[in-house]
Amino acid sequence: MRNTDDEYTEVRQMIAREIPALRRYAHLLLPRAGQDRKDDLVQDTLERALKKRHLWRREGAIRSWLYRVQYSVFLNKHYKTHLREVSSENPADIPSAAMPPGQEKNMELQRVMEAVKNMPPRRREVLLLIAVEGLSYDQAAAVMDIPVGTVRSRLSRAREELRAEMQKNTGVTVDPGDLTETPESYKRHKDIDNV
Amino acid sequence: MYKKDSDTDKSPSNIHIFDGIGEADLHAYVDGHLDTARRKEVEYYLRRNPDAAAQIRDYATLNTLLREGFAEELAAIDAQETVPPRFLAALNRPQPRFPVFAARAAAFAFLCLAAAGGGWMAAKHGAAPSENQLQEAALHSVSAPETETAVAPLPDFNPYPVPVPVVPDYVPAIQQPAVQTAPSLPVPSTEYQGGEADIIRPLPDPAGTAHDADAMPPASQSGQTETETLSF
Repeated sequence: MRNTDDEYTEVRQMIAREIPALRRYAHLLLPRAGQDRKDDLVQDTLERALKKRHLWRREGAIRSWLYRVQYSVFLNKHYKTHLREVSSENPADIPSAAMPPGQEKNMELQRVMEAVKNMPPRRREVLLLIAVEGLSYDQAAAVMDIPVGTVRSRLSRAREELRAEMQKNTGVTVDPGDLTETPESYKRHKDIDNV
Repeated sequence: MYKKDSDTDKSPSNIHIFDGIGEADLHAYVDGHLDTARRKEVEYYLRRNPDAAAQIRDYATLNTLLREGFAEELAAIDAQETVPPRFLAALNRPQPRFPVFAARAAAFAFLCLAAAGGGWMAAKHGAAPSENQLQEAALHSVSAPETETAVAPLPDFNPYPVPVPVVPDYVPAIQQPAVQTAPSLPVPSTEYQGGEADIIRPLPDPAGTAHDADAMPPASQSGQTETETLSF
C-alpha cells in the first residue's frame, strides 16, 4: 500500500509540473473561449489523468500522455458546449470586422488567425500542434489517436485552406477550390490519363 | 529516408508526385522533419518547380504567422506565476482507496444479503443501523470536500519556478493533506469527528475481496480504449 501511495505522490507531482503546458494546450484547443472555460478543461484533464494514471505506461514523456488525455476530454466534453456558445455569440462580437485597418501584414495575420480559429478542431489541432507547438507527426498522431497518414492529410488540408485565405488577401486572384491546378498541371494530368 | 504515405495523397491537388517527391515531403520540409539527404532532394526538386517553391514559401509564411498570432496569448499563459487554487485542489483530493461506485455497490450488496439471509426481524435490526451508517456516510461525503480544500491549500507549491532543487521543497507539501492533516481538521461539527474514522472503514471492508476483480468499473469502457493505445 505504501508503494502505491509513493507512486501516487510522484505521479501527482509530475502532473502538477505540466500544468503550464496543459494551459497552453487548452488555449490552442479553445482559442475563442474565456479563461474560465479553458481552466475547466485543464481541471477536468487533471482529474481524469489522476483517475487514469495507471494508463500512463511510463514510456515516453508524461506531457504527451497528458496532451492526449486533454484532447479526448476536449472532444468528449468541452467541444460541443463550446460550439453552442460560439454559435450563439453575436457575430458582431467576432473581432475580424472590428479590426482597425493596419499594415497589410497585420491584416494577413488577422485573417489567418480568424480562419484558423474557425476551423474544425480536428484539422486545426493537427496544424497547431505541429506548427506552433513543434510536435513531430508521430507525436501529433499519438496525441490525437489517429494514424500518421491522417495527420498528414489533415495538415495538408488545413494549410491549403489557410493558404487560400492568405491569397485572397494579397489580391492574387486564385480560385480557392482550384488552388494547385494550373493549366499546365491539368494538361499533365490529362496526359497521364491518356497514357 | 522519409517514408511517404501514399494512401493519403490521392487528391488531384497532389501534382508533385514526380521524382518521388510528394505533398507529404513538402510539408515535412517546411516543418523540418526531413533528414539531410531527403532535404537536399526536395531542394533540388524545388529549384525546378516554381509552383512547389511558391507553395513551400506560403506554408513557411503560415507557420510564422501562426506562431506570431499565438505568441502573445501563449506568452501570457507562460508568464502566469500562480496556479489557480482549484487545480491544486483537484490534484490534492485524497486518493480513493477504490472507486466510490464500487464502495456503494458493495455496501448495497452487503445490505441485500443481510436482509435476505436474516429474515424479517433480522433485516429490520440489521437495516436500522446501516441506514444510519449510510446517512452519515452521505453527510461525510458532502462535508469532505470542504474540509479537504480547507486543509489542502499549498501556498508555496508552485510548479513554475523550473529550477530542479525546488522539488524537494514541495514533496512533503503534496503528501501532507492526504496523510497527516486529519487530526488538525477544522471539523464543522463534532458529530462527524468521532464517526469519521469509524464510518469510512466499514464501507471499504465488505468489498475488500471485490477490489481486485473490478478495480475501476465505472470507467472501464473508456478505460479500455485508452489501454489499447496508450503506448507511447
